[in-house]
Amino acid sequence: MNKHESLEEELKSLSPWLQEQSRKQAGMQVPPGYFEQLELAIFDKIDAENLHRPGLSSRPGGLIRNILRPRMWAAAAAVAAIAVACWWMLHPQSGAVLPVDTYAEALTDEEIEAYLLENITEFDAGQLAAITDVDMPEQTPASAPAPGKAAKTTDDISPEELENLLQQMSEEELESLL
Amino acid sequence: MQQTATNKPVSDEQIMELLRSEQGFERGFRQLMAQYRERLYWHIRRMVLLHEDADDVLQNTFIKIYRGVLQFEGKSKLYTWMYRIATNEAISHLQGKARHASESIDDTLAAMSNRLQADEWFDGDAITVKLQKAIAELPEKQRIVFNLRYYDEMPYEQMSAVLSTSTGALKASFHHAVKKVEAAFREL
Repeated sequence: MNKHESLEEELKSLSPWLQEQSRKQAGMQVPPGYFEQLELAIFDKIDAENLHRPGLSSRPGGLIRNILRPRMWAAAAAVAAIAVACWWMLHPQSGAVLPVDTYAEALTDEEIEAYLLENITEFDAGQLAAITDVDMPEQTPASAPAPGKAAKTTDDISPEELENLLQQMSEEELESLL
Repeated sequence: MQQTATNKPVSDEQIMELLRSEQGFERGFRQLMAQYRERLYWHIRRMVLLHEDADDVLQNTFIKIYRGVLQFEGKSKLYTWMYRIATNEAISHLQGKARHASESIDDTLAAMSNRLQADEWFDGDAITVKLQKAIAELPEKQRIVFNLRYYDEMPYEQMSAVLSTSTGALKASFHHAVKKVEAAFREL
């Protein structure tokens, strides 16, 4: 039994009156050539809405493409850099204190030393050498080695020598010193 | 160069094959439209009654199909999937019209069925107009089931896939709808 026969059977038992009615398009019509022109209308709409083949990148001119356009971002970055430079030149930083200096001033030498020892692994040899030269507290006479006892103190070693020395030491040796 | 569809019907699988290839996508979509536009149009037209509305809904339906066809997983038939989109679009359209007029969909549809004779693209006789008004009085789901079965002669199994409803429930719904339409027709 095909679907038409099945429906006819169904209607026959349910409503013979409805079965007799014409079901073809029910008085509804379409303008001449409508279906032929429909394809054109839909593709016009697809173009107007700037749709693209699903799964492919946007066509030129799409909003997302515009937002992600690298040239636009480069121009924006250049404008921002010029604005910052102008502002910097017009507002000299006389007497201005950088935030990092403010924090450094609030810390004692002991606190800095303790921090450095706690986080020794975070610094490379060059940085440690520079800190030793510049930032560490000067040795007091009491802590200075006796004459002739050590060939060199850290004050006598150049940053490069210290770096070489630290590079030659294993991690275990370094940890034992600390 | 514009890629044209062939007049010869091709299988859904062949359409999908074309759609999945980058070069064949447009041709595949044109083929899909050529093959299904009339059936989808009449399904939509029976739901929204007026040609102008049906045209809007059909175009939106094809735009949705265009956007989503590559996500179609083939779990149902291509036509079933498109029917579902068309049905949802038609319901959304009616809901939009009802919201705009601050009335229910049933009231909107009743008003549209009253305007049916004024539609340039309707030339039904008095009996046809009365029948359309009787159908417009059905609740939404019953109206869809009635149209799919009575006019499209869609088998219950296929309708079940479109409407995500059991065939038993659909049969019962159609039987109720037929009785109501006949009764409403007698009263009009």
